[in-house]
Amino acid sequence: MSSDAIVFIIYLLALLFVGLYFSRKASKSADQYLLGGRNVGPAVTALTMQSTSMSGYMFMGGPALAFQQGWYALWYALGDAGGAIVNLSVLGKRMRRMSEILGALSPIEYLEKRYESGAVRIIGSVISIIFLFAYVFAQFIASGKALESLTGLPYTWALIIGVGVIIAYTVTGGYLAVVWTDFIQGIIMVVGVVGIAILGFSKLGGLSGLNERLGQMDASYLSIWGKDLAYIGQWGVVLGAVLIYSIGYMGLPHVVVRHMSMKSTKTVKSAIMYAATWNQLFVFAPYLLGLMAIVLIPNLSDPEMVIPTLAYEFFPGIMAAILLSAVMAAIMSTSDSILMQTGTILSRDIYQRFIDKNASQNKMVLVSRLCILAAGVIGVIVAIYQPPSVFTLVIFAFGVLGNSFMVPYITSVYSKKSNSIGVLCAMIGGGTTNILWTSMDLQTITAIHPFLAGLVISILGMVIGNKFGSAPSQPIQDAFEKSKGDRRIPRSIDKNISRDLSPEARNISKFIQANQPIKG
Amino acid sequence: MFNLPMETAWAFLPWPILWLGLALYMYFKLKKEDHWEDTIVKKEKGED
Repeated sequence: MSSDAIVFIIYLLALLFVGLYFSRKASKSADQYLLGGRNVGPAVTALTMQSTSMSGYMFMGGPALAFQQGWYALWYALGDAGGAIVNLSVLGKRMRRMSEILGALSPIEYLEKRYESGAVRIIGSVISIIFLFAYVFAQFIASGKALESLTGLPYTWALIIGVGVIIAYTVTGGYLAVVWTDFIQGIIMVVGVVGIAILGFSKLGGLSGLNERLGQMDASYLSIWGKDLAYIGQWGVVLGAVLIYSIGYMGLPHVVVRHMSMKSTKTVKSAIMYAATWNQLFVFAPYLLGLMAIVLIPNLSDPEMVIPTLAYEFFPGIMAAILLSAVMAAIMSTSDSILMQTGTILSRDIYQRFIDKNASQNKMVLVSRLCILAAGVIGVIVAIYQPPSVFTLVIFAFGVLGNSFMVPYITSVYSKKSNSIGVLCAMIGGGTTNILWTSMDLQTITAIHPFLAGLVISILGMVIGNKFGSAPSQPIQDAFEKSKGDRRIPRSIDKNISRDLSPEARNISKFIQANQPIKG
Repeated sequence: MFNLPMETAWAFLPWPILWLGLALYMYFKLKKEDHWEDTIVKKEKGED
């Protein structure tokens, strides 16, 4: 057996061990199984958030875009590098507090309780299940493709083995198994990709050497407007490319749930630092490897195979084995989180909400496990029989989820008066706009990215819808105030209060002095 | 810079530093908030 196969098998066994290790803890209650008892620390929160966010797209779609368009592809990396900082800073503390006050275990249940509307939960569940399924199908297909090309196994068997391991540890270990395997996978991802990038740069004479060679081949590779200046002047497309990965994560249910599971609000500050450091190390490297491939393997027939080809042709042996594990880590860390979230929504938001309201904790854990298993099996069957274009599906599902849920999650903790009509308009308007924009290819006509179009409509839907619905109840308004935390009075107001009170204080002290009884 | 056209260099290269700067700013801002919240909690419990 080759060294890369041995490394990879050890890696898969380690993941299964993590699942088994957490299985007993996960079985204690629905809160433990679905949210890890809200006890996840900063490093694990940061890395699970990031490895979940960075899917197989980062090892296949991202480098392929750089291979085809040159430096233009880095627009996507720019936003991505700051996505976690924005996400944690904007939602982190407030959403952690609000979800605990509301007693919400799933991000869709959170929306229903915050906006006091069953319709929000039904529509939210439908949108998230459809597009999370689409997202996870794409990850499963990527997993099968990667294992097929890297191990030589037939696609179906590669798919069943790869996805089988993901389902096994997710079903047994629940949320804790998912976040801890994500933590390990996050480390493997960064080690694999940075290692290959360093080796690549040493071969090409650093970044300057790479750019010199690219410029000699075609100067437009170095442009911000794409190869042959295909996107020249299209700021609507560029803005959408930056925004989708810088703010879009705030709309993904399987990512925002990480705010709900943090140990405390104090977790946020350290999580920001961990995530920011990890991002700067990881995010740019796959795109730079795509640029290196233009020079090193210009005749590559399948651009999505840039990284595996680079690894096996130029750095065989242990580096290739680590990279194979890194590719699978990216796919698996996203797939397990989506499977977990799909199972949570099916069990908590559909089964317990509409079928068995009084289900016991044990029954809920069992139902959650069965839902995750069912979602995984359906995913495998679809991935075997209907393999569509992988990364078109990822960007599409990402965009629709982001446009549907980002505005509702932000306004849930920043706009006291936002109500159910506003959130329904934002969800349906934003999601539908992205679907229409993508399916009718309106980007070509308007030079506006589908995510940007969906975002504008979602914001308008929220603003206009809020005018029609009734204001949230007093308990929700109180919860909103509590979610802001104890706030310090701004320094300017503090100063004015002191100034206003000082004459009065002086007069009181004069009065007391003047009226003191004469002693002696 | 790095054999890149000026436009490309200025568009892409500063971003990692800007994001890390923002992360540091947020870290200290949130640390201050946490400290303030702790003080409030202690005062409410009558520990001060």
